[in-house]
Amino acid sequence: MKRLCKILAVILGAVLLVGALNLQQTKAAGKTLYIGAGYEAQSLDPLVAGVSGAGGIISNAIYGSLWTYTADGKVNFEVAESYEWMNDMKTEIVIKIREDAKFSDGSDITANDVMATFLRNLNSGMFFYVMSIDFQNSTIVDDKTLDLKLSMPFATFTEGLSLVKISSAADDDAKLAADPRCSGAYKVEQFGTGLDTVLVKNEYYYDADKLVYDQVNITGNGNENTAFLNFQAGEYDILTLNDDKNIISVRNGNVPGTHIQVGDIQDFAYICLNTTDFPEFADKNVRGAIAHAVDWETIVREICGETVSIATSGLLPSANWAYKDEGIYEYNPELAKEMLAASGYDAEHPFEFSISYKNAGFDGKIAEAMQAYLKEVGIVMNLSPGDAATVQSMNQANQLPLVFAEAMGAQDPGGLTNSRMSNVPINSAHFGAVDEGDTYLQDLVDEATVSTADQETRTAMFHEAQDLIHDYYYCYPLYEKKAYFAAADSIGDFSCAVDANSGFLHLENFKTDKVEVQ
Amino acid sequence: MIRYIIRRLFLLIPILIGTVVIVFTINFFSDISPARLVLGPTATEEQVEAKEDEWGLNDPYLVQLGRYFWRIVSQGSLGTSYIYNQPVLKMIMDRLPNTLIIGLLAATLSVMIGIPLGILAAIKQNTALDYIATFLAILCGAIPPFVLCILMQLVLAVRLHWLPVSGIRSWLGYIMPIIACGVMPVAMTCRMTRSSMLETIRQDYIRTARAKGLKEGTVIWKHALKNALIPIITVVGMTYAMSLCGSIISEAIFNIPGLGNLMNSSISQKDYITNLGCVLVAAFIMSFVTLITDLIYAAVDPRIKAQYAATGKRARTYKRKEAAV
Repeated sequence: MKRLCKILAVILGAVLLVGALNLQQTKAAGKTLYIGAGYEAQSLDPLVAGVSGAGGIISNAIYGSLWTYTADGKVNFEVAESYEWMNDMKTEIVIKIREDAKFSDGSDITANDVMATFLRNLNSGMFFYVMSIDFQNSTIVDDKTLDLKLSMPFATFTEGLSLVKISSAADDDAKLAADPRCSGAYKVEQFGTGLDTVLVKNEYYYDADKLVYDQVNITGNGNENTAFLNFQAGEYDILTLNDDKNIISVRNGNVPGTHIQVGDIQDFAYICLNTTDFPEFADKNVRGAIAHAVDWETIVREICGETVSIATSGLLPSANWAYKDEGIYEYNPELAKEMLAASGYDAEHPFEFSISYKNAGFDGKIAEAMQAYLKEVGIVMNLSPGDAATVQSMNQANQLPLVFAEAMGAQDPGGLTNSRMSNVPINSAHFGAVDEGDTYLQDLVDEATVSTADQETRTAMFHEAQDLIHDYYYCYPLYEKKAYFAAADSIGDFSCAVDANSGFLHLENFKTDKVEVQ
Repeated sequence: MIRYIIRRLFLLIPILIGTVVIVFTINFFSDISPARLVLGPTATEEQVEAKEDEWGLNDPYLVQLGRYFWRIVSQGSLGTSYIYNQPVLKMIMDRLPNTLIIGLLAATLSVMIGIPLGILAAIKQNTALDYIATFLAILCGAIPPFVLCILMQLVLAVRLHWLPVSGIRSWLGYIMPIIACGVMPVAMTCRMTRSSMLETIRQDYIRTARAKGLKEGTVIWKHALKNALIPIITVVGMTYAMSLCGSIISEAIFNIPGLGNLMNSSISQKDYITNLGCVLVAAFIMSFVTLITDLIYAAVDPRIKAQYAATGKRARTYKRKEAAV
């Protein structure tokens, strides 16, 4: 028995010793960037990979978009070299593909590839942006030119197209899933279950000589804590961060030799009310009472700190038609009490409702703070924390009266910029809907979208619509989020390397102090 | 004996069918549309409807269930993942080896440590060795696996840099998950071995063996252990079965692309078809290992082997008698 124990101890010791020696050699030499991200990518198909976690970064790196947007709304052309709207009604757009745009096998990226990509997106039904393209009347003018006709004006059409990743018309589903021709800055060297995804420079990329890293290793982690430990152990150069505890930990210098990089993205958090399934919220006074009973600015500042900025509009700031001077709701408990009293609620008959919220991020803390504020004016909000999946399921089933929601990229939470295209199924999110039998708002939005070619008139209509939405108290804007990355000091700054629409790292725009991409 | 094995193999069929029916029914009535989740909140009702039609989700319950079974029987397919648009069977087969390696080694580790430790504790009852072994067993059982996982990551990976924090990029990545999965079964195996051995070594035939002048080693290993093995085999069998089905916690923490992790993500992403496939494979593994365990009973204990044989004979005799009547 003793001998057996000794043998086991020796084996364990030897294993750990070899491990320690071996681990010192795992990092490859040369200009390789090690990135830790969320969930492992299951496929390289841009329709599947680019939705979350590691897949988003990989998709951004290996597939080019026609163009992307910076957080302040500027266009950054990629596969396309230009686009031009052909009329004021915004129903015809001519897109020019850059002459030197090539796939990783050296073949040209043509207008046919772009059109095939649109069709593939359309058939998947996953991206609604391409749905407004009138494919019958749109034409491929030449190898590098597309003339797209839209079936109706779509205010955020170009923002939407920036999310579409261009793939080769010659690649079928299986090829795209595992070994695609890459239209982006990098191509795939290694991809598989349980393996790091290894990307190497695409030598046919038009700006290949400006790429900072020759190779990029991306590891997907389903568990954020494990990913952070990997970063602490020095296994990653960059780690995408969602957990505010980890953000604070790096900020406070708990992980020596590292720092936080912040990227501006279009990610907007808001609270919305389900007026359809919960008739008590169809009462405008009740909605208004909640809006004025809570000190939103204090809540956001105290709970979210500097990690976010306060949202002041029901639309993303960079979205077309966004009216940035809307302002947050005034904290006025007396007004809230008056509004409640007008609807017959008082201390003896308080307004009461129950919500479930995901017990992660800021939602829980904001809900608790709201509860305290609402109690002051006589509103009882019962809280029931749950896991994200359960709360999402309840929301999808329209079982929640009040929802913490987020909108990202070119999405338009209220369907305001194009109420016909953005048919938000969650009643609570559809704050552009008809209010109490009044069709004026809906008519106004429709009119602003399609009625006139005059840009100024339409803009004024959208602003009026946003004013109405603000007055109807359907939605309480909370904050605009940012993308956070923990980075080794050796990597330097890369604050401009975030895709404003998707929030994922954009490796072709990766800037350090050594390289400046124009 | 062979008849018994064949009978047990046939018994697998209703078990697997029952498992599929239960999980399928729960998913069917969960009222959450995978199409809505895949297409996102911006998709129109028409798009969702079209996707559901494409996947056959609008068909009646029995049609969907029948189609699922028919696909398994006729094509050997477990369907295509809603989220990843890949064959579920391929996704499972890509991940199963990782789960089997970890499960097999973790269970073996628990046997290699747990049984000797239990024997030692039993034959040295009420000595320091017994107390130490019992203490170790309780300690192993008391530490929640997820705490152990994180502690090992902090010490062995972050602090000492001996092992990678997560992933299985090299064989070193397997060490911590194996230890994490093996520790709890060590406790169970050790406790069961100790109590079973204690009961056995007090039997008259052990006293007789000693009186005959047999060496203590021979008494313990040949006479006591062999007779104490039945409950130990039960525990070890369950350990293997559960380990081989994948550990959701350790696979998630160590970022192991295994069956447990796939099951976990398919539940959170409402990818029911993948989840169903994972459950089916796990049920098959569980049933198969249980069968192996039962066969080991027979190999270890001749009385059980005789019972299996007798059951078959009795059944045949009964049928003959019935036919005669």
